[in-house]
Amino acid sequence: MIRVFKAMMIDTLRYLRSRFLFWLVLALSTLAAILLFATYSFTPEGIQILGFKPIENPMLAKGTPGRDMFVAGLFNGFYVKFWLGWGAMILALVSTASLIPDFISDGAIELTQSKPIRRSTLFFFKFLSGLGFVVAQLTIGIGLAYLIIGIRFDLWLHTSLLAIPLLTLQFVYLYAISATIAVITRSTIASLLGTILIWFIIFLLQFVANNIHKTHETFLTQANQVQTRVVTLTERIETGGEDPTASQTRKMESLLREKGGIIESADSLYPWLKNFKRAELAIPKTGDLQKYLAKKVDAPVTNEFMGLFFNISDDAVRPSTISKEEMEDANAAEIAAIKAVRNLSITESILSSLAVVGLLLWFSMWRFSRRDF
Amino acid sequence: MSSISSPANRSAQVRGLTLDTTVDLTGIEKIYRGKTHALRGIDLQIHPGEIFGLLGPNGAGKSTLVKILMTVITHTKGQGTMLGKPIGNKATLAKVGYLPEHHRFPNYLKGKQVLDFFGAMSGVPKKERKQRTSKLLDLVGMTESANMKVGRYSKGMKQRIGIAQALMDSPQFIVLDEPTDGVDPVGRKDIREILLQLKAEGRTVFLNSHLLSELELVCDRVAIMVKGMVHQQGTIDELTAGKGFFSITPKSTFDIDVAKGCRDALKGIESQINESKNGCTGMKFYTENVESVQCVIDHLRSNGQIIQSCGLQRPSLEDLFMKAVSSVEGGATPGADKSPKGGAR
Repeated sequence: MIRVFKAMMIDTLRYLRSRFLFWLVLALSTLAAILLFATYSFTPEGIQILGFKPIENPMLAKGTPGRDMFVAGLFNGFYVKFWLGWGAMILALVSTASLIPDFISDGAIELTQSKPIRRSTLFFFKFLSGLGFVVAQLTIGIGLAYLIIGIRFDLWLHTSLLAIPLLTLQFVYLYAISATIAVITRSTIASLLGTILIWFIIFLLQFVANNIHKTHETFLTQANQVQTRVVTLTERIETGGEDPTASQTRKMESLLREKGGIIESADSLYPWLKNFKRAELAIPKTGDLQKYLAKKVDAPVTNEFMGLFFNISDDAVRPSTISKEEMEDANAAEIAAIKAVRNLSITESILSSLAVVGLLLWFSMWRFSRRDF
Repeated sequence: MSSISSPANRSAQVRGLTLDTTVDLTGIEKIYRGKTHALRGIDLQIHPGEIFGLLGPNGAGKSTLVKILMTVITHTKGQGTMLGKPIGNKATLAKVGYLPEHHRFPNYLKGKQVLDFFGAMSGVPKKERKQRTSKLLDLVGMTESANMKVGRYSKGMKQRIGIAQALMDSPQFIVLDEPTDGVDPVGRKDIREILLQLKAEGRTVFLNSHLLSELELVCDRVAIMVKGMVHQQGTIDELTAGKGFFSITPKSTFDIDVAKGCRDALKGIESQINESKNGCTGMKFYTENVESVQCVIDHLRSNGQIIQSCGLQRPSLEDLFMKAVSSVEGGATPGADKSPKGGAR
């Protein structure tokens, strides 16, 4: 069996190597890693892009936590999320979409079916060998970024290497869908378009679920923030030793009303949140893997990343109707909410996703084993 | 029906086999999606060490039968064994080599990589694969093109590599579906020699081909399939026994009425008159009795005809084939050779 598996792995790698897309993705990953991590450096004053005059920014100066946040933000937010998580992933799907349809096409399937290997084993090995593309691309792409970041900035983001297994897992989720459609239709186009469509549906579902979760968490944080203001006001009144003034009473009533309203909103969202979380159990959760990675590499959320370049509560940026304190609270609530959303149970997410993937693969193997070619 | 020839028996015993048949099928049927009856009860025996030819018109179900043996599709009814194990048994395939009809080797592989890959798929260890690859490339005359990608091969070269691929696991039983398809006459001769060499080594070969003359040259036994059924099977001698005919060729064409007179002189014996626009060019009388054709010769001579040749002839495989096809109305089940895509069992 090992001999057969090895032969199929080598064959698939030869197949992928013969494809232009394999080299294109590799070249683009290298280019992206160079552009994102090798075209600038940090100086004591700030950041210097290529050989141009350094841009003064104490937040990004060499040796500051802002610099690490900036690099981690680029790695997670751009390199992993946009390029490897979306761009390269789509190209990987395009590259591998024809693997199973070609494998089961007339003239090819007879050659492998007539070998002393069980059909289910044959299919499973073919599926596994198809992952070779992504493992190879991710190992090179992530490894390159890891080395550039480490060597140039002396910042060794060991946790960034987690992107290799996590993005491979994301591809496993998608490739299981692709393989299932391929076995049913024997068509590369149907397999590719079907997978992208289902991926989009998964993305939409997770996007909505995330936003509901984020909003719910924002409400909870805001309720806590209002509660803090209530406590502060109560302490101020108690410290004065006198009855609260009319203005203080009005303020207290307003805060309590605000808190009540926020809790009511949070409560009204909760059933939606629960239902979406339930619905998520039935899908391979591609987005969760990136959220988990963002948490592990301590990637800044958008507000934090933007905060490296300008102060969000500055008068110039802040709308005049919102106080500085409210602006800072809102910003803090949003950051806390996004981090809370990232704080998911990865074991539960992976296991439930793998259960769906397992079902898909079981069905594909059953279908592959039973059909006449 | 021929018995197992003694050299074949010996080779089977050398290989540790005590089998009377390499393939033994009884009542094999295949119905696609409950509608298309591709095979209608196939009874077929292939003996160890022989070259067995399967012929039939397009759509007769030949490829369906081969695919059933190779576990590519499953049969609906009937039973059978291959190398002593029930058909469908995957482990048996380790001793079987197969070249499909419209095979498609990966274009990105080089010739020698094709052999190595399919050898590995058959479970051949790496060291043996290396040795066999070079031997087989030599056998099929592809050593010089071994490092060329399959995508650049001609049809004939692909067939040669295909045959080598089928021999990678040193099989006891070799199934070749149209092995000479697209191969030039020199290549065909080479393939015939390979087949005879395999036979000499005691291997059993199952040949599916449209080229009847080639089958005739190499096959020990043949089966003719028409409309999903085996119409006849046996050695060519067995199949042609008692089917000889006298062929009479005149020096020049003669009047058709004279030919009809000859036919009337031999009432009760099947005959065939070869006609051209100038008259009759020859006649065939389906009898092996030399006395009975004397009256025909007399009739021709009395009509002033000079006979150029007259002799007893055995029917060719093509004659048998054409007769079998024409005797079964329609000749073929449309679509029987083509499995419906996605047809589940």
